[in-house]
Amino acid sequence: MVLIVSIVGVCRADDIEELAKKLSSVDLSERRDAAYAFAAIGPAAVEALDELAGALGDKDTQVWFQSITTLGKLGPDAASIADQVAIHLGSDSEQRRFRAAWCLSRFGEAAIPAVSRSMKEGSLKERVAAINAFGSMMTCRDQVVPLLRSALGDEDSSVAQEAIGSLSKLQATSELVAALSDTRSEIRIGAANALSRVDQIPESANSILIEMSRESNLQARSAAISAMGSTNLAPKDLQETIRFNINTSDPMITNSIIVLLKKRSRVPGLVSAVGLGLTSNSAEIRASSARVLLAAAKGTEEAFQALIKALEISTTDSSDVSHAISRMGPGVINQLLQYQSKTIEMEQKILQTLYLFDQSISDQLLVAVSSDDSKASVRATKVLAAMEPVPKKAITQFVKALDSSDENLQVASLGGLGKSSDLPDEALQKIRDLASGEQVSLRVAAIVALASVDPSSDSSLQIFDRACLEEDVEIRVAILQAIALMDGTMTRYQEFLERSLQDEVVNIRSLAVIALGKMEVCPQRYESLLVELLDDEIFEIRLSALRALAVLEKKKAVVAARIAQILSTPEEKTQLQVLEVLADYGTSASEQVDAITQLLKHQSSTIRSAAINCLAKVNRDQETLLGTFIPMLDDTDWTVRREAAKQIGEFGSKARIAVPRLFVMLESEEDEEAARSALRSIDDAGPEALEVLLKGLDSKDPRVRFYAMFLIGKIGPPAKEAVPKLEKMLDDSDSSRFRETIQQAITRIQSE
Amino acid sequence: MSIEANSVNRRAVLRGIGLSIGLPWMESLAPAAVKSTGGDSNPTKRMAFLFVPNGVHLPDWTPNQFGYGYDLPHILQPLKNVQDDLMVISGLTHDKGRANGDGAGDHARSASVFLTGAQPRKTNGSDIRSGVSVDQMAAAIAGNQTRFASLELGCEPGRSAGNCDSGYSCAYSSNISWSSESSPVGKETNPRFVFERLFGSGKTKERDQQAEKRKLLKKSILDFVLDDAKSLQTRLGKNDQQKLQEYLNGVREIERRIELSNQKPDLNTDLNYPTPAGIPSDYGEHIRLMCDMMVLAFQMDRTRIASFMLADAGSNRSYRQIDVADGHHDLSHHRGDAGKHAKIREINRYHVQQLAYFLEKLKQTPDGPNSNLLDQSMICYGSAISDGNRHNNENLPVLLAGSGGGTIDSGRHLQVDSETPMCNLFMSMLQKFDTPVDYIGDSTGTLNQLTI
Repeated sequence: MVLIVSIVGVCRADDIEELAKKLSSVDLSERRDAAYAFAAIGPAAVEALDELAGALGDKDTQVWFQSITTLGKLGPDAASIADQVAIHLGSDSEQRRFRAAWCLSRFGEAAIPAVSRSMKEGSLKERVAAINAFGSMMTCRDQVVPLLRSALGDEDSSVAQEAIGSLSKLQATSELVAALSDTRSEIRIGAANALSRVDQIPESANSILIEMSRESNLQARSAAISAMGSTNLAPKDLQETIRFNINTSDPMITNSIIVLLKKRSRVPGLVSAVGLGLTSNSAEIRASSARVLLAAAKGTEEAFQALIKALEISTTDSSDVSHAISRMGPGVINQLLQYQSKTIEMEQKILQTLYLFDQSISDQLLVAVSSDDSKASVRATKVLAAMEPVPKKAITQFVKALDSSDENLQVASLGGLGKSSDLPDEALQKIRDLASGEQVSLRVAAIVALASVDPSSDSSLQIFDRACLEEDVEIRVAILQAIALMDGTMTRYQEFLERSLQDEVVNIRSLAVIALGKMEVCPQRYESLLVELLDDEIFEIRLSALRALAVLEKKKAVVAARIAQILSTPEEKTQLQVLEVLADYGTSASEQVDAITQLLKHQSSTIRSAAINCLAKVNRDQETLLGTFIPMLDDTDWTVRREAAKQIGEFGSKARIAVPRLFVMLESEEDEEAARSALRSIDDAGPEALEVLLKGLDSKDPRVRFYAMFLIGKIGPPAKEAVPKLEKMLDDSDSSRFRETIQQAITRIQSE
Repeated sequence: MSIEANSVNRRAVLRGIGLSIGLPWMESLAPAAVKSTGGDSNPTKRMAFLFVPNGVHLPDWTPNQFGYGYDLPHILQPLKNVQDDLMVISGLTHDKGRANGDGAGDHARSASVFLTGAQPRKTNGSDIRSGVSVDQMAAAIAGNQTRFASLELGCEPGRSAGNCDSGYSCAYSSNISWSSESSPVGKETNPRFVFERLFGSGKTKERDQQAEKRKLLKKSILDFVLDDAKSLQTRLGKNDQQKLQEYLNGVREIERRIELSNQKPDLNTDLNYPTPAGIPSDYGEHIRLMCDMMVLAFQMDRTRIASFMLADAGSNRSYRQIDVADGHHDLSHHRGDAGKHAKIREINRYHVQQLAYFLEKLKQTPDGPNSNLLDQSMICYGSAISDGNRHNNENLPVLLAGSGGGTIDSGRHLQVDSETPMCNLFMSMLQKFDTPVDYIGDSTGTLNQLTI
């Protein structure tokens, strides 16, 4: 059903005549009313064709717009005035060119000569608008397509690109396939993009697209991959294309692979090919591969299997894969709970994945806790126990599970009970019984749980005291964990802690250090002890000492100095920890600036970024910092450049010396956001930035041009030499936003 | 009282004198053909349009990447749970929101043009003129398939006459739905009245008496259909019995929230926007209740078309609930002030949070054996002003959520050509809603990129 909204009342000949007269009235409101009435009349308006054509010369935008709308709606009946309409294809106003093109396209075949003249003889804008008009002339496609084919040869690429767009609208597949072999990359890319929108691309394009999908030009690759979704390429070719490209984390490529997968969702093996990227050593590639799977195959068994496989074989950080699985939604919970893991590592990965879900899966987990599948029951219990807060409904299940014969289930339940509050006496007694029992694993879990839920009752203290005297390593580990949970209020274990620091078992020494860091008593004594432990031969102990020192309330320069000495350690993990601790110490660590500055040359970009962040916290001398950070904007790694730009932005207008470099960064896809943010914070370009900003006015990227004119305006009168260029841009620009910004810039410069 | 299959739309209803409760989609009550195929070959589609005033802070609205898998910027982050169901559309234009010779009055123009694409006549008299809005075009064609052709909602009552913006009638700034070029469709701002409208049935007198009786007895509408509900339970499968109970609980919860309205004055209430009886003093709760009404209306198939003004054009409401004491409109004239930018983006995000609530509710509501209400819907959210400071009408902030019964490839950031009319999006929506038209406003065609 088609609804035609029209006012049908005004269509008598004398009414038309009256309206036509009004269309040239000196009274603007009369002209407007007439123009609006004509737009609503429908076919009868053809009687006033000459007057409507005349109204295209009206200075009032509304009269002009309504008149051209009326003419467009009249279609071929109004085609005799095509020449008059075509004049507006060269209008300075983008909106008018757009409307004129629409109107001419509605005229159809009879308008072809007029449009063709504009396309051949007009200004650049006019040629583009004419081609746009042709793009909507589906009714005379056969006549228009050859004209557009000739426009592909236009020396100006914007004309040729518009021709590609119009050929696409007209579904001129053969011409688009031919354009894939054009020598100009922008034309080939445009053609491939256009082809991605057709239903079926001829086979003749297959080999060209495969070749394009391996080019170094990412835009070309992306367009070709998207277009492949509309081909009949064999599964093998598509799989190979994905394998070749999945290791490129560029968002354009990621997007095109998603399009391909969505369009060819039934082709086997494509999802598995994406799965290869999930095992990459690069976090960015793992993330982009996961993004592809989630966008194109979320919820499918194939995607789940690819993710699980990636989880199994990943040897590096598997958190991206775990996150991707968690984003598959609660539908995968049962599969995860029932998964048969063959290794302890995989069991951990499955649990880590389950931990990523939020409380909304707790009902599913509660069902699994009571199931006959003991593995699923234990996993579900562990996940419930890890939730913050622990779901209230789970507590009853935890208490019930303490009577189970499954030791793993009991341990997992104790973990959950340890995080619960207001436990009934019956539950507390069960925990105490287990803490005093025979089975070591249960005693361990029960002791740790008691430390949280009942740390100071006589019964618990007796249990803890006994545990301190035990020889069993696991029990001693448990009591150390318990002491660490007691928030430093328990002084009765000092002797035990000091003894533990001499223990030959690394884990015990390490836990003792952590517990020491939490003690509130005698901080000076323990502070020096912790500093000494920074030299321990065992890495874990040194790390624990660092962590313990970080939580000490009194942060002293002397401690900071000692901590800084560890910066020369070869272990990145330790260095990162040290940088975090020093950043936390702030100006107390200001004497360590040189040591931290050295790390700006570190081979690891993570360390370099952390050093920038740390320096910004410990050093308050902004001038020095700027001198240090600006060179970092040239770092080879974008994450370092981003951190440097962020910190430089914090200095506000004092950082205007960095504007030229930041401005150049706008041209780079990966730096653009950081640079834009910093420039916004600095908000003050000094005269020294003028040279680079003037170059920016010529940039192809409109965002760069916009920032250039904006920042030139901020310079004010010293930017006088920019005025002629700005004035020319004011004349040429169609965008009201650009025009407004240019005008503001000129006004500020001439404000003297 | 009786349980009836609604002859218009195949949905069952629970009836009482003066009221009826439409039931959601349930497998036990679905036609045999749908049960056997596992899906409806001609799903019931819905559409809604949500308007926010004063534009947005675009740098925190526009994603940096195009296509699939884009990162949600700050303002859109609340939509993370429905990102796959969402299309961010950049580059659309409302040329008729521009002055085009009429000078100031951008805010009034922005509301009246939002769904009409028509230049409003600059007048504050009775000779108002705009155009027929997209929702009303759909309602004119498909509205006879449901009890209500369409639902028009808002949070600020506004005025229907007088001068609201530089010589533009208040009718322009207070309405986005227009049934003819001179007839704005007044919006309902009181959730209680919407609730009564959705559940009331029979003659007006019966409805009013029923409502009065409930009020006197302090009873829920559910109390009057209890017997029917029990009877219906026996005809339902186990899953559907649970679904029905959850649904009725949901209705009761909304009814209870309406009852609570105004009982707890909120310290964050904006004194410039006092709330009449029946309207929650908490603005967020007000929006969410209205969203719940739309979900219920769609779920019960009372209507398939809705429009909702979260605030009127040029609204100067403050947002103390997010620590923004300044007026929204005042802030939108930021003149590049970073502090104001920060506040605007938080207001924008607050609005988007409410949208997320609405979309998530739609997504959680089953509609057919393998789909939900969001799958079957097209929800268009946005503003007809891009940046509140510049009052420009190109590159508008527009979101399209839902997949329109499988006719839209969501989950993308779409960039359209410069100056593409917003009305081209409406043309496509109407086409996908099976209510195509020749033109709407200043449309020049359809937006063919909604599918890949």
